[in-house]
Amino acid sequence: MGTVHPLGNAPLLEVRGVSKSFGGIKAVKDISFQVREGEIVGLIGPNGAGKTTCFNLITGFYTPTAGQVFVKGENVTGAKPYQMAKKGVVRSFQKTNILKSLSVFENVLAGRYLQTRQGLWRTFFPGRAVRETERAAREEAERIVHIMGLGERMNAPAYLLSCGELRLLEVGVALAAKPDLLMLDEPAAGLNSQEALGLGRILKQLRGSHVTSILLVEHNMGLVMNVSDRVVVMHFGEKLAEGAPAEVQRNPAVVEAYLGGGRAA
Amino acid sequence: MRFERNALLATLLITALLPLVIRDQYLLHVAIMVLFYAVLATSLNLIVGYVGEFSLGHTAFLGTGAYAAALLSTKLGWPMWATIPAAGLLAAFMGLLIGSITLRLQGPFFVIVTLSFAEVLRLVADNWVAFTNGPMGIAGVPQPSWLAQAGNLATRQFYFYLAWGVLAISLYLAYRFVYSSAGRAAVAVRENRYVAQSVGIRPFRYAMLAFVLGALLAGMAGGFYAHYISFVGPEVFRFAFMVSMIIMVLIGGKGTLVGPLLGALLVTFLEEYLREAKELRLSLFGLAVMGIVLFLPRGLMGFLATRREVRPTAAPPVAVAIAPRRQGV
Amino acid sequence: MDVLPQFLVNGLVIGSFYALSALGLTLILGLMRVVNFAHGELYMLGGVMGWWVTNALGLDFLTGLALVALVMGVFGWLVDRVLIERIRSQGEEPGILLTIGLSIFLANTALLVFGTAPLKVEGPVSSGPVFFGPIVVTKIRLFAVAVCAVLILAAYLLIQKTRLGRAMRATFQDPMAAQLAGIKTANIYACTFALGTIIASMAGMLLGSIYSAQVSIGGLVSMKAFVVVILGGMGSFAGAVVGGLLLGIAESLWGGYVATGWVDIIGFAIVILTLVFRPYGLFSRRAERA
Repeated sequence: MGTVHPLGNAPLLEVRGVSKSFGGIKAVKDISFQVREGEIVGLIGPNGAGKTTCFNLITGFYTPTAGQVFVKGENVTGAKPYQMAKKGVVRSFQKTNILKSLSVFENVLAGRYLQTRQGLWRTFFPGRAVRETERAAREEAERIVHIMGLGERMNAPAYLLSCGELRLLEVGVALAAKPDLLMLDEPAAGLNSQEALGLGRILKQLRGSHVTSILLVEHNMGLVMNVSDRVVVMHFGEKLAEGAPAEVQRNPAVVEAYLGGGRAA
Repeated sequence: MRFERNALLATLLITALLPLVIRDQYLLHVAIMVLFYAVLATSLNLIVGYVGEFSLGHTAFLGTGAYAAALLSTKLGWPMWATIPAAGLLAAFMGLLIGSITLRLQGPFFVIVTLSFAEVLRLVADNWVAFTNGPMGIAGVPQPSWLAQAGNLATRQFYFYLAWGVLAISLYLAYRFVYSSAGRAAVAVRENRYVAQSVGIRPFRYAMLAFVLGALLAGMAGGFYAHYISFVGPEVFRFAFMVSMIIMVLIGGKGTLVGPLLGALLVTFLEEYLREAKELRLSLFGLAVMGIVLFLPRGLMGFLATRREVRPTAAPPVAVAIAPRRQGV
Repeated sequence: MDVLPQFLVNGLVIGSFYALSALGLTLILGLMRVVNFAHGELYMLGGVMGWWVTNALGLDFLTGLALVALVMGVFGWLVDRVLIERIRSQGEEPGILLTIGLSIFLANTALLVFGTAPLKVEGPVSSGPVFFGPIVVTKIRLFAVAVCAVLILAAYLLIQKTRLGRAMRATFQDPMAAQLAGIKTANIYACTFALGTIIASMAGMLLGSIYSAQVSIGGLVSMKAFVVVILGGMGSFAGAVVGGLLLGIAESLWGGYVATGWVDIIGFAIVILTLVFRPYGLFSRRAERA
């Protein structure tokens, strides 16, 4: 592990020279970027650019073949997903991944795991302290369900939810884990424009109040440009451009990568 | 949560009163077997429901517990109140060993390797004559000495309450586990490993906890069995036992605490009713398993639960406009 | 020692039987992703039916074998269409449970009908010995090994060289694409299961002529077949063959040099060791998910 800097100096997340090869295929080549405290960073690029692979590399679902990942100055390269969660980095998934047969509330409550862990004895002989923790966790889970706008679906089993509601639920579950850095993989996939707008509002509310920073992969350009402070563009596994949304949109290389013209929201 | 707790308490209360009503020895025996099977079903249900994998090797723990109690009492003279907990602990330890290998595997691999372990133990019990007395088994597992004066009925009543005690402890431990953060974590792992990992859960640890707990309970049941039946042989590892356990869990509905009790009740009665016609009984069990898989996959409890499914109410204004609800995803 | 060659040959003989038996299982596993726990019972039914056609119907061995193959093929086809088809989309576990239920049902119904006595299938040649130098093999075993080899070769050719075989391989690589190409996938699944059933039941009849068919043999056969399939790699044709031979030799050596009572334990030890160290078997190369 590297030296730990006080948070003022080190960015919340730093990806440095990260690469990943599968057999002969280089999915990600020498990617470097940062997410600083209080930022919302968008990670965009055409399909197959390696964005989800990047997510997997940061959160430990894959191990980089080269490069390092730092969280708050600490080298966490290769740390497993559950370790990353403890370090405050929690992600959602590109394909909807929730606990299908549980209710919305139970899903979010499950996300509260790190805040409700008990030792073996307390598991079987809980005392008042455990009851308190449980009560607090349940209240917080309810709050989060309301924040995500799923209030009236609180007890509905997840398999009854619509696609859009499921995406929101996924964000809610990740949120429940109290991350410093919330990483969302295409949260607006399957949302219509109104829902996406609503999601954008929620994300901006979350930043600073419930989470420190947000890193999101998105294809919905309207959402990304509206919500992000900075945008990183990937193409063929490499970083193509980086900057404020307006800059990136004008960047000719970016425009070309998206096949001649900006993509409609 | 409250429903389950109340159902379990009610069940325990009612069964505690049974010996006051039942005077017939044979019926009391059947009742004892129901309690015994209830513990086994609860223990297997922990693995099936909370590890999410189907273990075909659960007899390994039942058998370990039975042999442990038998050997500790016959060779070392331990009293019953010591052998039964010891049986549970030894089975739990066996669960730790077996789990450390099997829980790294999933699906059919898990099924086959758990079955292999059970078979290995059966072969050991059958062949290591010096230790286990081979196919002759261990006979004359002692009863508490003060029972010698009691009549047959009183003895059975004693064993009934002993079984009841083991069941009560099992249900308590299972209930606490299920409704704890650990139980939620295990369910999360079962439902979706990726989500579980991303919120900080280590899948292996919780699978292991459920597995070892299941082994512990099955071991205690085995210890009880050794003293009640008074004889332990390699057939305690037989596959027919496993079949009964599977059916109990499936019929009742996996993943609930009440389900296994229902399953135990039904299966014990079926077994007693068809006691003589072993092949017919097992044949019907086979059909039952197929039937459940095809038509009643969530068992009786699941079937009842779907009829009480929550329907969403009319939508008040919400922060984000939600698209019209579509059935399923 | 001079017993070693004999042990090896014994092992190869038994191993070829294991290979054939495992082949039926691995085809279904590899091509359909169905874990067929009823495999041993299908083998058993082959043996029992083989006894019936050679004794009650008085047919000669090879004709009987063909008849058994036909009947069991139809049976397997029906099992797939009526039972497995319903749960195909539900993941692995229902398949496991369903086939376990089926195996329990078949085993015990057969016990009810045929009883526990061993049933001798009339073989086409005698059990007289044949000598290869110091090594002894009985004629009937040689015949059985020969038939095994023929059947394994036939299965290989079916899968690799025929239209049906290509349709099978296409379906299991990508069912949607196969359907779009005009393949009736429901029939392909049924045919594959039927093929696995045919191979299993023929193995049962073959071995019934050497050892006698026993109704209770299903469980052991399933376990041995699983050992081979796990060792060789699920779905690997070559793995089933090589794995079968390896198991046969290992058992023969262990039984010969150590103790015969514990022979079955070898299989389980192999399973456990394989799953710990090389879970995908000797013949699989596992690629990382991109």
